Amino acid sequence: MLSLRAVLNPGFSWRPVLNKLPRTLYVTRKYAKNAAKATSEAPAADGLLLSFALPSSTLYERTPVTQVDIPTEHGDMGILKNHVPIIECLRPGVIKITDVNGATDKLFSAGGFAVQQPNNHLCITSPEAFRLDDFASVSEVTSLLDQAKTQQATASETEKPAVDVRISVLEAILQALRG
Amino acid sequence: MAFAWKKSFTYSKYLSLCSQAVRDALKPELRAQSQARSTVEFVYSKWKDGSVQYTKSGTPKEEENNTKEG
Repeated sequence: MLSLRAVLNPGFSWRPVLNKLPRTLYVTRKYAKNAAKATSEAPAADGLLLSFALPSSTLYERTPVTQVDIPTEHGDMGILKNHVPIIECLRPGVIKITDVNGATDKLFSAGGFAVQQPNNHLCITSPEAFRLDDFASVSEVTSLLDQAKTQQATASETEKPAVDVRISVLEAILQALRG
Repeated sequence: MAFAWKKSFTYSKYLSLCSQAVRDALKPELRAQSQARSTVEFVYSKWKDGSVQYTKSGTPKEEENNTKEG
């Protein structure tokens, strides 16, 4: 009821009044709409753009690619253009990038996150990522794994989870180097 | 099982363990270059009245096991 007493009441809201007016006369909040729109600094692209950054260096910066295969905590997935926006926590594993010419690039990453933005921009961030020929030989990594396994046998309850993580990462590296 | 590390660590501790394992498996030249990243995970400063009081560096602490059990 639009009376002076009602308007002066501290609990009064103009919203019901405004809702009756034509929408062009007042401003509505458009957070979701604006977020869905491409921003001026990052317009929506036709193909998939990849940005892959480490704290120490940037490996890819808005590079057009065809497909990116990522190992996530929910499983392995391949990201193509126009993928639905997602945020995925990465497992230590191989990220395989297929560029527009069909050439593939494999990087073993220690984990991190992959975020598919609404504007066809895939942003991967990882603390460490190296190409497979930057790793030591299979025999050297195997000896590291054996050291970790002997450590696991003698580890206390509090140390065990850390050693288990180390073993799983070294096993993933070996699998990548062999396969 | 997905997110198995959640039982034992904070994410930052888990990530630093994985990063250390990856660094240790590198070729010797690259391993030497990357050692600086293994000793320091983050750097923090205390500010007071617009100036820095001290700067320290650290690595993530291990979380107490099974925090849900209290």
